[in-house]
Amino acid sequence: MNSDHSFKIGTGHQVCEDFVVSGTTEDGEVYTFLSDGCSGSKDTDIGSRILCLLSKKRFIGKEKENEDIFLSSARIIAELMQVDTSCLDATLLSAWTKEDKVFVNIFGDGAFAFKIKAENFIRIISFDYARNYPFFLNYKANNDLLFGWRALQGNLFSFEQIILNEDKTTQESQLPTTLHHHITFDITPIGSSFIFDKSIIDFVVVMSDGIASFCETVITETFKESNLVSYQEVLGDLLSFKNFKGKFVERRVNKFLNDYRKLNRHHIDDLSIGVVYIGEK
Amino acid sequence: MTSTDLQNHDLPKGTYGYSAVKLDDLGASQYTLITLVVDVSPSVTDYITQLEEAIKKIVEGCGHKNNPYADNMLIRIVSFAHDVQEVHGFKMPSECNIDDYTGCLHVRNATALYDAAENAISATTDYASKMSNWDFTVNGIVVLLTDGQDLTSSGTQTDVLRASQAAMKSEALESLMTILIGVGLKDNPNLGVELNEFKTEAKLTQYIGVEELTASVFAKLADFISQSISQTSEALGSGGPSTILDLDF
Repeated sequence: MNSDHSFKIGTGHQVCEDFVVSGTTEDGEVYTFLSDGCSGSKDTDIGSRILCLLSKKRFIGKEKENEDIFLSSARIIAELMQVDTSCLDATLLSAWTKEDKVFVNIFGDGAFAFKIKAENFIRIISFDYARNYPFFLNYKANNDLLFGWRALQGNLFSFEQIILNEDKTTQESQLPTTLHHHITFDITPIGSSFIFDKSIIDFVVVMSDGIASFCETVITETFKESNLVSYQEVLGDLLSFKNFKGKFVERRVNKFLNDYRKLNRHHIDDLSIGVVYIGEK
Repeated sequence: MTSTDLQNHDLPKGTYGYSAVKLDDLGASQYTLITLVVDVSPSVTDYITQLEEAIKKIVEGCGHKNNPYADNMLIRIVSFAHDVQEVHGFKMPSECNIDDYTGCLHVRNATALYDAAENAISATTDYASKMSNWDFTVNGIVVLLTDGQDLTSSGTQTDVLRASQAAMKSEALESLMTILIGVGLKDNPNLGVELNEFKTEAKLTQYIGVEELTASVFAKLADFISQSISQTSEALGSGGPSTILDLDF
């Protein structure tokens, strides 16, 4: 097993509000915690770090999962740092192994991908909110924020499942019924969770919504325009890991961004990605 | 010197190939490929021990725990006389046993400088290309140390130039620094002129001339090479070349 991560500032940002950590515990469990700070709130670069590092600390320390304790700890840290607790307005996407299971939790928008050993394609599930107001775990600690978020009109939550084939073509898909006894999941606007049997999984990827912010600048003699690159195309290029040794995500992201630079492609939003690899290196 | 875990690679041109650590054994995201190319023609007999000590110092510096780039370097040592021989191929400094460098250089006849230079540059480009296909970010530095003009190369300055041009064209290498160091100019006044000409013709990055080899000069040279390696490693990932350092005696 192995895990790795990478995060890069987007061209539209002055401070990178994405953060991600990954690692292996003494027991050999692998984890990644990723957070994308809300641009509309202050100091979310700090908040996203607090959420990831606290998640990591609690996971390594084998502390029981408890949202209330987690949130109050995060808010205390923010207060000690003398930043407003709204800095915690950030997504939290996590993937980790525990014994014979792989767990994935999604709070907010972004995407996660997973490869089942028996399949030769990658499954991707992306989460979106129509008015771009994702749910943040921090809202659970403040009823005003929670009610305010719930009262938003037209902020419809949706998710999309696609299959990314080896030849980089994509198609819409549903989870196959044959796998239902290996996968349990619960998808809601205020958080989604997936539990896989470790034996069927090759790797799991969590990603911020920066994957959907790639633009290609086209320059001709008479005009210059920027066209959005579909996130399906981006993922086809990004997720082509050559191996899973050492800093395999950092290598892949560096090469991918370098190749995209040559195509005049850049990501406006911050980009972060964390991977837990279950197979043998 | 043991190189059991290294894999042999052929080069499209030239007689000599190279060896390198298997790509599957590399864990970092980026690497600087370092090649030290050392003249072992009969004229170096008197100071071959100092040469080995200098290699030790450089390799030790690369792998030192205080070197932040120690895990991002692969070092290859090559000796040349009438032929080109690897002391060892590209491998991590941490995998290099310093004591193994005692007696690693063996004096042989003649000076195939151009063949050695061509091999060092081509091997760097070739391995960088293989690494790039596996997503690694790579740059390189080649240091050529000689006390004599080329005598027996099957290749020419033009072949070295072509190797340099191929390295520059290669998208695999972020940058490549090639440093030619001529030593013992005091005893061989024409050497400096010829090596300078070689540097210009082959479009090498830098030429350094050393009049006389003494213990302190050896130490200075080793420091200079170590610093040049550090500069190259530091530049890795920036997309640009490293700073060219000066060496004053």
